[in-house]
Order: sequence, then C-alpha cells, then structure tokens
Amino acid sequence: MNNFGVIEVAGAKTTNAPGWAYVPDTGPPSLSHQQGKNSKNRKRAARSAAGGPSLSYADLSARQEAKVRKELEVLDRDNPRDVSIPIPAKPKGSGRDAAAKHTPNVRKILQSQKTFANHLDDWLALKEGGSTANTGGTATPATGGGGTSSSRSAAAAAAAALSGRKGNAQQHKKSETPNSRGGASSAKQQQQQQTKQDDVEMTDAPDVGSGGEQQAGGEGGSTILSPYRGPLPAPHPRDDDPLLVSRVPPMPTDEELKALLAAPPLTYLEARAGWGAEDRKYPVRVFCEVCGYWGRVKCIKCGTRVCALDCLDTHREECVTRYGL
Amino acid sequence: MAPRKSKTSRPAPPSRTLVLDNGAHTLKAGYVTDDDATTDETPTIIPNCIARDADRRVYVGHELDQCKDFSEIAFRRPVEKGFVVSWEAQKEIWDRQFFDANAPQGPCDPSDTRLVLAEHSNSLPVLQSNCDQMIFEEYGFASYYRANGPSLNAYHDVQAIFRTPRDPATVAQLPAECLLLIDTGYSNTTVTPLLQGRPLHSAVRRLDVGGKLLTNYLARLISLRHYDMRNEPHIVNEMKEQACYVSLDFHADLEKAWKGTRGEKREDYLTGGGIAKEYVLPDFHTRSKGIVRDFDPEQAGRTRKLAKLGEATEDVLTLRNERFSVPELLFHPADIGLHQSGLANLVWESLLAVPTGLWPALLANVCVVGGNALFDGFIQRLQKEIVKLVPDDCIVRVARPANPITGTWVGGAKLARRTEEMAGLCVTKAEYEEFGGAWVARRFATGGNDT
Repeated sequence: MNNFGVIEVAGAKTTNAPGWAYVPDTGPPSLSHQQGKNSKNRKRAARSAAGGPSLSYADLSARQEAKVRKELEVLDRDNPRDVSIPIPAKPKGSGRDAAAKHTPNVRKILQSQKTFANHLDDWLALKEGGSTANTGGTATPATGGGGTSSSRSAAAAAAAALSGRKGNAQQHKKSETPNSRGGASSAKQQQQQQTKQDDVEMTDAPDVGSGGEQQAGGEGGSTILSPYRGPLPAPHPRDDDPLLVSRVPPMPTDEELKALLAAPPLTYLEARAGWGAEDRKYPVRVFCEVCGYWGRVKCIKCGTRVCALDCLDTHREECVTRYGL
Repeated sequence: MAPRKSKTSRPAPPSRTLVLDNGAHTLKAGYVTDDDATTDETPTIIPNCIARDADRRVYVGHELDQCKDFSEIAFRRPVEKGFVVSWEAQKEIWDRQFFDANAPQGPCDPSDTRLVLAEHSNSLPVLQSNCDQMIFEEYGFASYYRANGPSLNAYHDVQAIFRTPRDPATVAQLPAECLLLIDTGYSNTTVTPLLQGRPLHSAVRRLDVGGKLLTNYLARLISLRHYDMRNEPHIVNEMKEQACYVSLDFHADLEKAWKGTRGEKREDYLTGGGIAKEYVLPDFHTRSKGIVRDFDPEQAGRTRKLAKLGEATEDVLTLRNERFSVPELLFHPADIGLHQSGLANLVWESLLAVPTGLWPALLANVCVVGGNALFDGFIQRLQKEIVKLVPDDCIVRVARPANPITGTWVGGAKLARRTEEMAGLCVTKAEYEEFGGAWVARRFATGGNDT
C-alpha cells in the first residue's frame, strides 16, 4: 500500500444503476472501478477482490480510505473552520514591558508557527537520518528515548509509512541514497559524524533503585516491591488441597523490575495503540449513517449503510443530489 | 543522588510551589506552600485557550468567564495532543493568569517559586526542550520539575479511592506501589502502569480518542440529524457533558433507541424508553446554558406544532442513540474507522508489556482520571470489559478520584509537599545555566536519578 506516500484519490466516474435493491453485504463496496472493468458482474468482482469478511485498511478501496481519513482529520480539529486568532494586545496596567527582551532561544520558540504535525515530521526525519547511519540504533537524538530494545519500532515504522506524509517520503529517499551508492566508506563516515553529534546527548544507563531503597529491608527478596504486611485471612483446613490452591504467578525479580523501570520512554508513534489480533477477532461494526442504528443494508449506488427503508429514503435524497438518478 | 544535593551554592529553597497541570482544554493551577496545609485541595481551573466570539471580541484564559454569548465561538489552543506547541499563545495565557500585575491570584515572582509542571507521556524531545527553555530563560523560575502527568497520580491515597477496608490508623504508603493509571483527557487517552510512582515506560499506550474527538463526533451527528452545530463547539461540548453516558449494554440500548422499520410503531421509541432526552439549546438571552430534560412524547408533539407555526420559544433537540454512541468510541474506536484498540484492549496491550507477576497488583488498582471519566457508567463499563479480558484469578477494581479532572493536579500538590523528594527531582536555574538543556532533559527522563 505504500506508494511512496502517493495517495490515490477517488475518481469522479461512478456507474449508475437504476432503482435500488438490497445487496448481500459481503465486503467493502466499489472495488469495481479497479477490477470491474473486465468483469461484467460487479458483485462477483467485489467479492473475489475482498477475499473474506475481514476488513482492514488494505481491503478498503482507495475512495473509502480517503473518506475515512478525511473524516478523522475533521474530527481531530479544534475548530470546524480554519481560524487564526492573533494574540490580543496587552491590557493596560499589566505591569509588563510590551517590548521585553527575549533571549534568542526564546524568540525562536515564540515565533515558531509550527504545529504538532510539523514537529512530528521533523522529528521523524531526524530519527530516520540517525537510524540509517548507525544501524544498531544505539542512540536517537536528544533524550535518547529512541526505539532501542523495543519491539514496537517496527509498528512505529509501519505507522510512519501509513501516515504517508510528504516530508516522510522525501526523507526515505534522502536517507537511502548514501547507503546504496557510497557503500561502506560513506556509511562509516556518516556514522562517525553521527556519533560525534550524538555523543553529547547519550544517556547513561540510569541508576535505578533509589525509589526502592526507602522501602528496602523486607524479606531477603525484592528491594523494589515491599512485602505484604496486612492481615492474613483465617486458615482453612483445606488450604493445602491441590484443587483449591490458587495459582499466583511468580513475582518478577529485582533485575527485571530494574530493567523495566530503566526502560526509556517510547516515542510518540510507538506508544500509539495498535490494531491487534484481539481487535480483529470481531468484525468491524457498521452503523446506519442516517439514524445510527446498525447498518444492515447498503445503498447500491454509493455503499452507504442504512438500517431500513425509512432511512434509505432519507439517504436517497442526498444520494441523488450527489450521484444523480 | 546524594552528592548533588550537598552543593553549597544552593540558595534557600523557594517559598512556594506552583503546581501546574497544563491540559489541552483547561489548565489546573495552584500554589502550594509548606506551612499552609489547605492549599492542596482545589486548584483554579482555567480554560487554556484564546477564544473569539461572534462579535470578534477576544478572551484569553480566565477572561472567558466574562463571555456571555458562546454562539459561533472559535478557540485557539496552545496545547496540541497534550503537548504545548504554540508558546506564543501559551505565554499570553500564563502571563495573564500568573504574572501580570492584575493576575487573579496576585502576580507570581518566578525567581522565588518552584514550578511542578505535568506533561504528557511520550513527548517529542524538541517540545520538551522548548518547554525547559521557556521556563528558565523567559520566566526564570527558581527551580523546576517537569513531571510525567500520570505518575503524579500515584501520590494520591489510592487505597482510599478504592475504599479498601483497612485500619483507619494506617498511614497511606506514598507513592502507591502499583497503580494502573488511565488518563482520558481532551486530546487522547493513555494507559500507564506505575510502579512506586514511576511509569513503566515500555508499557505506556495511547489511544487517540479524547474529549475533543467525542465533541466533534457529536457535533457531526447532530448536524446530520437536527441542526447544523458544527460551528458551535462550546454548546456541543456542554451537551456532551450533560447528556452523554457510557452504555452498559450497547446492543440493548441501541435496540431501544431505534425507530423501527417503515410503519412500525415501537413502544420504546415512542415513549423514549428511558434513553431519549430533550436538550433545550441555550439562546444566550434568557438562557445561557442548555438544559437536559426527560423526553415527554406529548410535550414533544406540542413543541413540534408550535415550531411549525413559528411560535416556539425554545429550540429543542431530542437526543437518542447519540447519548451513548458518542462515548462508545472510547471502547470501540473502529466505529468511526479509527483502527486502534478500544480502551479495554488498550489495557490488555499494556499488561502484555509487563511481567505477569505484576498483573494482579495492577488490575486491582485501576484508576481513571481525566474529564471523560465523568461520563455516567464509564467506570462500570470499563471494569466489565477488563474482567472479560484478563485471567479469572485476577481481581479487577476500577475507580476514579472524587474529581477526576483535578486528579493529576492534586497528586502533584501532594508531591510538592514532600520536601526531600522534591529536592532530588527539581532542577534549579543555576544548574540549568551550568550544565545546559541536554543535562536537564536527561535528568527528567531518568526520573531524577543523577547521571
């Protein structure tokens, strides 16, 4: 799906069908503009293309994907329209000098018009540049909170690819060229440069355990977790019965806990929740676009879900204005 | 960490601490002084925005209280996704709230104040360093601790929140030993397992559903079904806060709220089924806030007739499945095509990243903070869903502090009171000037352990 960040836009051409009909819902609609050209039967084409009931980004047609992405972007905005509210003039008697001197750093920060998305792109670009040079990924710039040792870096990379931003795609190109062309020497050079830059920023393995030291002095075991000191339940004659005994998972050792506490923070994209096997267990729920009940049937023209005839009628009014009779 | 504290050049500690939870929607702030024990009860809650109303009048931060007409109001928020991005706007809001001569709580002298600033997990390094630079170079706070927001909650008396039966004389162990903290705020929802008040970074997970997305989604639904409310974020937000709830049985509630097929007269639909509510929109002349009232079929009929004649005195919306399908997004983000795990699965994902031995302790202490925790039924639903996922042997307890919005702030205030601990965590201005920004960033990243 990663066409170097190029996003397919829905074509303006739609096939019109007279009237309406209930269509068995077997998967995402309107793959017809990709496959349907050589096949007369659009339903069959769609069904064979979908391959199964599971619905994922890859199965959705480009048009739907674009629609969903656009809708999510709209939902994520602070204001429905683009507004720019300038900083109002300072009130009188605020006790501050309007033209106060700022240090250069502060001036730079105050004048920055970057949004979070800009910062994220910048940072991804920076990280990408660093990680190709030293493949071990020992340190990422600044806090060293990089994708070392974390199994989520792959997911993060996928997410980055998914986001398909321009800056990202450019960076791909930029970072790949020296490796493929220059071979070992240039890579080595770059690595040296990189280590020079990074040297200042490297994090030493933090010395953990200060939190636990206060609680230390429990039973010979853990210095991080304190032993239980509360009241115990009254003994029961069948406490030793192997059928009734409760299984308690073994406590992690101190080393494990220390490693866990010392782990660097995940990066912004790594911490993002994924779409795991547990979520795929159930099919995606679909709702009537008109009233919000289950989307039991689809409009055969545009694939919009509706619940029943009343809502279909309402939808048709809109559908006709958009797609014609 | 002892050696650094013994620095002789350290000046007398600042007289008071400004605890600041700089949220995307509201900022929670208050001063904590060592001698006055009551100061850590309630922070001031200020909208963290610059707003412009329909008359193009601009309100900054707390001035929004003076706004009478919220129709078509537009907001500029300095915090995006939980992180301060636009310092230009943030500085203006902070200035008017804390540093001006006519600031509500009197002007603050940064050089005699310690700052505890709660930040979201998984920030970008550049945003963190911007923040440090602004604090020291622009404001010049005497000392400063950029704390991980979720971890501050460990300084609550967590067992009191869970109402654990215990000897009343027991002194709460602070910070809480094991806590699974869910912070569901304006921009997103994060799950953070905490051990001794320190986050287990490798298990932090974030779901990009927060109050903002829910409000926007409700605005979209209402615009499709009733009036166009897309330009009224403030009204829709109030509506969401007053009328929405988390359904404990989504299927049954959806069934009850359904109109039915053509010609069908469903009893639950006609009577409202206990779900339908009427929302009277504010008109900002006689009514400045919307009102929720029970759905009354007869009244609704009369109102409709009046509306037809153009004599209606009030604008009424009937909310049905909007009431619960909006917060449902927290549990099923895939409903709007957002391919992320729901909240319960998020907890599960996070648990998979910690050793099994910690599961029982974490699951027995699931604490929810943030504005979305105020939805009716949120806690019960979350508990129900987590129980379904985890091993039967684990006891699951989910709870929220009395006021989940100020939860992080109260935790921070409790931490600020613990003088020795603070001394080890804070960075002074002198240290910043001597060792530089990278050192400060590293120190905060490693939780105050000396490098």
